[in-house]
This record gives sequence, C-alpha cells and structure tokens, in this order.
Amino acid sequence: MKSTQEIKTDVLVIGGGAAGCWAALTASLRGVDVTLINKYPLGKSGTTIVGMITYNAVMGELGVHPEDSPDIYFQDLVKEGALLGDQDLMEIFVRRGRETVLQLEKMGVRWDKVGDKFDARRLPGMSYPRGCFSDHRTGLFIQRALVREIQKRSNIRVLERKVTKLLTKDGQIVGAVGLHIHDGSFLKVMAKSVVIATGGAGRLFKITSMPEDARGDGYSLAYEAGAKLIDMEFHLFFPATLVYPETLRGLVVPRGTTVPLGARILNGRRERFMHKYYPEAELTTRDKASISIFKEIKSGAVTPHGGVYMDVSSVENLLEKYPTSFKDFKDAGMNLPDEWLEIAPGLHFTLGGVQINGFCEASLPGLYAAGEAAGNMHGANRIGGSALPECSVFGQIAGENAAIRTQFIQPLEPDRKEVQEERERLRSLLDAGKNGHIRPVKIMRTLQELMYDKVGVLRTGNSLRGAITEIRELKKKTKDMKIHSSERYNNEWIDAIDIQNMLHLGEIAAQCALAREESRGAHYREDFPQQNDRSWKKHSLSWKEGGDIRIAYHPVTVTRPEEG
Amino acid sequence: MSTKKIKVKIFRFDPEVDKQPSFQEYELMKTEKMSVLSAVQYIYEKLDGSLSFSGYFCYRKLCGLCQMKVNKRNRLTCRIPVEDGMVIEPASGYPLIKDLAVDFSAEKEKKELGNED
Repeated sequence: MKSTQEIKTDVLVIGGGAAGCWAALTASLRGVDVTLINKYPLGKSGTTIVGMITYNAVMGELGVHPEDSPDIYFQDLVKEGALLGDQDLMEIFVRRGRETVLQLEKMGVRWDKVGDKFDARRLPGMSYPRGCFSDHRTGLFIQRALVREIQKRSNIRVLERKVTKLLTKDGQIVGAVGLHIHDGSFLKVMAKSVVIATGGAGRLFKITSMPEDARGDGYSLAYEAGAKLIDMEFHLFFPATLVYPETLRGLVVPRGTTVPLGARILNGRRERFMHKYYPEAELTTRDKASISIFKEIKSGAVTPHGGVYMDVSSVENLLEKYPTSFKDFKDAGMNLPDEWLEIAPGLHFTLGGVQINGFCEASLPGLYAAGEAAGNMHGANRIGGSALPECSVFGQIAGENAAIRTQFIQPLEPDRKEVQEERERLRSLLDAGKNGHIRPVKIMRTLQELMYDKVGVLRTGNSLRGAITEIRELKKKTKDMKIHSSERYNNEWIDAIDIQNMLHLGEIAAQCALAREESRGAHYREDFPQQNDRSWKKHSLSWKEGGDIRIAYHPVTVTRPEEG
Repeated sequence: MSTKKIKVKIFRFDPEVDKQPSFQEYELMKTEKMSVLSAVQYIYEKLDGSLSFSGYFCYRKLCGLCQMKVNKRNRLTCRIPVEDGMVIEPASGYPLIKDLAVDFSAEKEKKELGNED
C-alpha cells in the first residue's frame, strides 16, 4: 500500500450526515480541533439527504398545534416504541427538537409555514401533527445547510475516507484508521474522542430505502472495538417500497395517505388480498401491512419482479399531490398513474445500534454515538419523522460531550502494532484476492437475500436458525474472495471489507432475534406472536468477547413508570 | 418482460497503470426501463469487477454522484434509459480517479454547495 498519512485531532467524527455534521459543529464551538470523516463526498452522500419530508418537533406557540407538548410527544414515543425505548433519552429528545428547528432556520432551511407558524404533518403514532418540513426535501436542505456551516469553520477538517477500525488502548478509544477510496492510501488518526455517526444498516437486506453506503459501518467499528450494541434484532420495514424498475428499487411509495384516496394493493394474479391477513386490509398499520405483503409474496403470488402490485390509477391529481415520489417514478420511465407499481416491504430504519447514555457516551471511554448509529432511544419501533431530529439533538449532545472530554485527558499514542496489523489486513485482501474464487458482491447479495427472507419482516425459530447456519457458511467463503488488485477506487475491495462486517451484523441480528421469544414492535416472531412484557421488556445487548458474539440483557430506563 | 441484447462502450483508464485511456465494449441484456446506471452496475456485478465508478448513489436525483458523460453529454445516469451503442465516459469537469470514478468533492465543486437552493 501507499503512504500512511498521520493526523492528530481532538474530536474525530465518523459520518457526515445530519448527526455527524451537528456533532462536528457543536464540538467546534468549544474551540477544539475537529476532524470529520465521510466515506463519500460530504453533502452528497449518506442517508440524511434522502430523508424526504418530516422532522418532528413540538413547536409550542410557534407551531400550528400549540396544544401539543413535550409530554404528549413523550407518551407517543413510549407507546410506539412498545415500551423498549430508554425514557431518559426520550426526555431529552422531546424537549430539544424545537430549538434545532430554529437553529436550522437560521442556517437557511426554509421551513414550510402557515402564516408565521411552522406547518406540520401528522404521521401514524402522532397525537398531534408535529412533522415540520421544508418543501418535499427536508433532509437534503438540512444537509446542505449543515455543510455550509461546516465550511465556515476553520477548526473543522473534512476528509473523504472509509474508516475501517477504531484504535483502543488501555480500554479506551484513542483514534481510528481508514482507507482513501480514491487511491488506496492509508490514514491514521489519533483522537481524544470519537463520535460514530454512520447511520443505519439497511443494506443488510435485499430491499431497503437506504442508499448504497448504509452498510452499518459504525456498528461494526464499535463491535470490533469491544463496545456494546443494543437491540440489534429490531429492524423497521416500510411496507411499500418499489422493487422495479431497478434504478428506483427501494424508493418509498406513500401508502397510508394514498389508500384512503383509492389506491389498491393486489397480488401477482391481480387479486386483492390484504383482507386475508387483517380485516382493515390496505388501511392497516405499517407493521401489519408489511406482514401481509410479505406473507403474500411468500405464498408465491408475485409480480414479475418479486413483489405485489399497487394500483394508484384512481387517486385524483396523483402527480400534483405527491410531487417527489410519483413524479420521480414517472421521470424514470413509469407510465403513471396508469401503470401498476411493483412494491414489497423494504428495510427503512435500523432501530438498534451503539448503546448510549444521555451524554451519548458508548460503553467504551472516548466513544460516542448519535443518530441512527445509536440504538436505544426509539425502542422497538419508530414514529415517522423522528429520525432527522434525533440526528440533530443527539448529534449536538455527542459533539458537546466529545469536546468536553478532551479538556480532561491526555492523548494516548495508539499502538504501532495495531495500526500496522490493520494496514496489513486491508492489503492482504488484495493480495489473497488475486487467487480467490468468489466475488465479494456475490456473497453480499446472498446475505441480503437470506436476511430479507429469514431475518426480515417475519421470523420464526427455524428461519433464524437457518439464517445463522447460512451466515456461518458465508463467513467461510470470505476466505476465498476474488478481488482485482488495483488500489484505486476499487469497489470490490470495499465490498470485501464490508461483507466481512455485514456478516457479523447479520449474525448478531439473527441471534438476538432468535433469543427474543416474543413479538414487539418491528420484531415479529410468527411462533411467538404476542408481546410478553413479563419476560421481555428488556434490551438485548451484544458485544464481541473472545472472538465470539455475546448476548445479555439490560433493563429499560424508565423515568415515568406511569407510562408503562 | 422484454429483454434485448445491447452493446455499450465504456471509458477505461487507470492513470497508475495505463499509458492512455481506452474504450471497452460490453454486451449485456437490457431489461425494460434499465437505466444507464443500472447497466453500469450490471456490468460491475456480472461481467467486470475491475470497473470503477462511484460507490454511492441516492437514486433520487439529489446527490449527483451518478453523473457520467453519456454520448458526449454529462447526464444523471439514474434517470437515463440505456440504449444500444451508447458511449459512457466519466463526468467532465471533475478530476479523473479511474474509469468512471471522478473526484466529486474536488475544490471547485464546493462553491456549488455554498448557494442557497
């Protein structure tokens, strides 16, 4: 490999979406030296930019529903999270969203308003409409505003790298190493605090609304460093994501709002079927809709591309009402509104993640996490529109506390050996890849298929045990990967690094889901269909010990016992 | 589902290895509504893993990273149907890294982000 670049920084932030940008900005306000590392071009990648519309915040007198309150939002969160969200984190979250809306407005985000009041949308699970929005591209505008702020700060260094390992010494985090995808050069960062803000792991599944880079890097970095992950069996699916055409695969199709306007869901034989599973048929809740559609797909009555149909032809003024989604589909060659869409449930949000406390501290000193990368705020399910404000609120907290930590500690020099070993590990993938036989992308597709079929919307003890066996077989295949040898923008190399991590994440998810013999929120066990609060109102923790996955349980933090 | 066999020509150049750029022809099955981006991804997955191009796409016309030069014009390839005989090159105006991969975060690009929408 080429040269190793070495830098020293106070706070290293990994991930440049909303959570990472907020962490970097907030840390930089404390005058410390900040390095923000993003895998792909900052502002043009990650999951925030595809966060389409809603940003939940209780706006009080500034909003259109002054009768809403942090307490009511809190109750909604507890309920939607099926009692699994940590309430100390929710207490912080429900109070601080409003301020972030105003901060973003100062940075140039133009929120939609009715007169001078912040307009808001209502999504399922909300007692009041509280989803603020900016046109139909809230996430994109937030991302751009944050990047503009970052560019104004002289104490934030932005690098485009793929972080492959966190460095630890004496049980604390002391930095990270990474790869420059452009030219294969190696980077060593020595840092006093590290914030993980790498988003979710949608790409563990065949169908997902998350973009290409959502491969759960942060979960793997934390896991490999020995930090604890929490609730990794909880994966939220959106019932209607496009499976065709290829280039639109994973795009979310509005179902909850179009069904009352006449949209219908039909199987591959062009028959309506939703009533077979739940009496509310197409109008049922998000999780039940996912289960119904998944079961129908499993029954074999599928469309040519493996989904079911959604017929939106009788929805009046479809293209005007839904300028982002349906117009976009038309743009890509679909004959709307007449052509039937092919849809299937797609992974929408990784509910679990790095375990944090109210300071966004992970279980290893020096490590912080925020946004989707963190795990224990929402619980077993998530209210739509709560993801973007989670990034802002906890990104700020992580950045602030990561910066404060730097005031009290002396930087520790990472072990040369640990850095050298990681460099050799990456390089050896290329060397061994010359003689290997199986392409990493093929292993990845196999994993995505099996995760979708066996660890997805519907789980049983048998499907999960089968998944674990298959994943272990796939892990063996990673020893025989075929990779071409260029160090320049080598996607096979990146796939090879990622698939090794993704296989661990897949196995962690399957093992935690197998152990949890109940159904709760987004985790649905067909063989244990009831929620069992007596035995299972508790978090699962998973971490690496002696090379193996360990699982234990941890009580949910409750601040208001009366809420359940 | 109608599929048909098509050929596309793709720009190849590894500045560390090659003396000069070349074009490589690939033959693939075009499915209905296949975009140029889907075709490039198909080539990477099924035909040639050494082809370099961006590792991120949003598929929603927001990121711009699927930009490539298609028949001499910069286009967002996630929205352009692929056709027989197309010539696909790296987006012009950005430093070339390898093949279709360019440096989209190069300095001059930053100005674009500075503007309000």
